[in-house]
Amino acid sequence: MTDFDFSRLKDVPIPPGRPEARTRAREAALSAFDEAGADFVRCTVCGTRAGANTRVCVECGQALSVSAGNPAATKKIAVASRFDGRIKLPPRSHTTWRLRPITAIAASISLVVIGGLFVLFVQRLEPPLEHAMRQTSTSPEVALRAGSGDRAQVAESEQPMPSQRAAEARSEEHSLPLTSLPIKSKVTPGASAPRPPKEGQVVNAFLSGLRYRDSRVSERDLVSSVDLAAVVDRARSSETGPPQINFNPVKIATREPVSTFSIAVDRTGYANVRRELEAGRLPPRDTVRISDMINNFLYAYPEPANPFAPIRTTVTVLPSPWSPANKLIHIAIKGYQLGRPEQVRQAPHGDLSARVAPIADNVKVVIEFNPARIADYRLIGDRAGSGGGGSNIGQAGEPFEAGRTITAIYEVTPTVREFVTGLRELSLEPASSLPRTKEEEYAYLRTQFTLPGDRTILSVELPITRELEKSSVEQASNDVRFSVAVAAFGQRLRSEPDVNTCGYDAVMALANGAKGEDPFGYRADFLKLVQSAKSVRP
Amino acid sequence: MREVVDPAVIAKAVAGHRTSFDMIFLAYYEHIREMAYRRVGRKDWAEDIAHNVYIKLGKTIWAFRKEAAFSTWLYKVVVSVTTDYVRKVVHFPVPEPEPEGGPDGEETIYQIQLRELLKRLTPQEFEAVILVYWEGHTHAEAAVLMGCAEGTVSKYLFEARARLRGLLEAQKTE
Repeated sequence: MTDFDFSRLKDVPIPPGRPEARTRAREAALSAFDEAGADFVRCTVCGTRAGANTRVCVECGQALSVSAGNPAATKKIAVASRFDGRIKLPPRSHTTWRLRPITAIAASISLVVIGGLFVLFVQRLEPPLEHAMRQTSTSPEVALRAGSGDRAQVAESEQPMPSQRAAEARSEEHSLPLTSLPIKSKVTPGASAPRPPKEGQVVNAFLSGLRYRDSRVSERDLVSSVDLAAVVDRARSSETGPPQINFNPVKIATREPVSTFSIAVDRTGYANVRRELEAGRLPPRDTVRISDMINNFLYAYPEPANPFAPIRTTVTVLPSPWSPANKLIHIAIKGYQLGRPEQVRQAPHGDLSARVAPIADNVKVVIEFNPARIADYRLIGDRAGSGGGGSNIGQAGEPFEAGRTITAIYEVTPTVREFVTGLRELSLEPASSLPRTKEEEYAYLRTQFTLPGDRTILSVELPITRELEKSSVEQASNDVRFSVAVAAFGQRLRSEPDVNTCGYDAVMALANGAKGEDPFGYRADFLKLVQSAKSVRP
Repeated sequence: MREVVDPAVIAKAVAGHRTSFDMIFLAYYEHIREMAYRRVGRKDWAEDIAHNVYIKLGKTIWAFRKEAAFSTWLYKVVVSVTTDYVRKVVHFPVPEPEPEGGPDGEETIYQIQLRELLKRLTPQEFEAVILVYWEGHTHAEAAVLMGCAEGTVSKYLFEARARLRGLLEAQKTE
C-alpha cells in the first residue's frame, strides 16, 4: 500500500447531517452554556459574564464592580450572585463510599449490637425520657417567639385567627398534599425567628434571585431586533417629559426588569373626574388618576381555584388598541374569603372595604419582565411612584379584603426576537412541540401576602406566557376590555401622546361592547362621561 | 479544522456572551460532525458525538486560555468525547450499522475496504492517517494536534503503511 492509496480517503463522501440533530445539539449547547454561566460574576448592565481577571465588561464596556486586587471582594460578589434558589449538592466522592466488604460487615454488625443496647436502655428509662423530649419540643418555639421581642405578636400567634384555624381544619379534612398547592412559603421555618416584613425587604430578597437573570439579553442584542435608540428615546422622553405631568415613565427591561405597583385605591380619583366633566369642563390633567379610575369599577374576575389561596391573579395579554406594535398585560387580582365561596357584593362605591375583614395583609405585587421578550414596559397609571422601583410599596404592604379586585395594566413593547419566534410558532411548528421554558415567558408575576395574624410570607405566582395571550382585543373578556377602555379614556384626558390614535369614539366603542350586565349602571355612567368629554373637547 | 471564527468572538464567548457562543456553534458544527464521522464511520454516532462535544463546550468554554489556538483546543475536546462515546457504546448492544450504499453511502468498495483496514491500526496510527490523509493537515499541524513531535507523526504514518501492506499481503496469500 502506498501514499497514493491513502490519499483516496479524501474522496470518501461524508453523509450530510440531519437538521433536527443539529437543532437539538444547539439547544443543548446553549443550555449547558447557560447553566455553566450561572455561577459567575456578571456585568450589572448587560449581564455578560465577567472573565477571571477582567475589570471591564467585554460586551458593553461597563466597569465591573469587582474591586481590583481585592480577591475577598471578588469572592463575596461571586458568592452573592451564585445563589439562585437551587440547592447544589457537593460533588459526590466515589472513594469515600466505597467500603470494603469486610469493613461493611463489621460496621453493620456493630450497628445492630449498639442499636439493641440502646433500645433496652430507652425502654428502661421511658417515662422520664419521654417527658424530657416533650419539653424540648415545645421550648425552642416559645424561645423563638419571645426572641422576636413582640409580646402582642406572641399572644396572636398562640391564638390563631379563625381563618387560619379554618384553613388548618380543612387541610386535615381534605388531606391534600401540600406540594400540590401553588402557594409557596417564602420563609423557611425554624431557620430564624420570623419577622414582620419591612418595607422593601421582600422585594429585595426577590431582586437577588431574578428569574431571568440568566437570559442575558444585552442591549446590543436589542439593536438587531428592536431599534434600541427608539427604546431609549421613548424612555428618556417619558422621564424628562413636562414636569407637571407625573405619569409613569417607560422602563427598559434589561435595566429595570422588576416592577411593582400599589394596591391602594383612592376612589375620589374617579369622582373628581366625573364632577368636572358633569360641570362641562375637562378635568386638569394632574387630577386624572387612571389607576383609580380603572379600579373604581366592579369586575367579576374568576374566583380562586385553590381553597388555600385567598388571592387569585388573572392575567390577559392582548394587543394594545392604541399602538399596534405594543401589547397590554392586564393583571387582575381578586381577594376571596377562605372557607366559603365569597358572594360578590355589588356594593356601591367604596363600601366594600369598610364591611369586610381583611383576608390578607402586606400584599405586594411584583412583576419581573423577561428582557428576552419585552424590550420596554410602562405601567398605565399615574400615581407617582406606584410603579417603577421596589422600595415604594406601602408601609409593610397593604391589607386586602374579600371581594376586592385590583386591576393594573402594563403596556409593553415586545422584542423583535419575540415577534420572530411567534411567527415561527404560528406557521412552521406545532405549538405543542415546544417545551415551555422560562425563556418563552413574557414575565413572572408574584403576589406576596401574609394571612391575618400570621407572619409567614406566602406568595401566589404565575408565569405570564403565550397561553394567556389573546390575538385580538375582541377575544378578551368584557371586564378586561372595559378596563382597557377606561385606561384609554384616562390617558386621553391626560393628553398622553401614546393614545393619539385612539379617540373618544374608539373608547366609546370599546366600552360599549364590554358593558356586560352592568347591574348598577356604572358602566353606562362611564359612557356618558366619555360622551361629555367628547363634547367639551376644545 | 481551521480558525474560522474571529478570536474576538471566542473571547466574548469565553467571557459568557451567549450570542458569540452560538456563532461558534454555527461555525464549527459541521466540522465537528465530519471529524466525528471520519473517526467512527457512522452518521448517527457522529451526530451524537457532535451533540456531546457541544454540551462539553458549553460547560467548559470559560476555561479556554488564549495560549492555545481555539481549533487545537476544540480538537482535543472532540477526540476525548469521541473516545468516551465509543468506549461507552461498545458496552451496549450495538445496532446494525447503517446500510452503506443508500442515499448517503456512496463509498466505493475500495474505500469501504480501506476503512475496514484502518480499524486494524493502533489508535495513534489511525489518528495520524486521518489527520494527514483525510483531513489534509501537514505533518507539523498533526504533530501539534496530537501533542507529539513532527517526526513521531511521520513514524506513525510509516508504521501504518507497513502494517497495512503486511495485512494486504496476508489477505492475498489466503
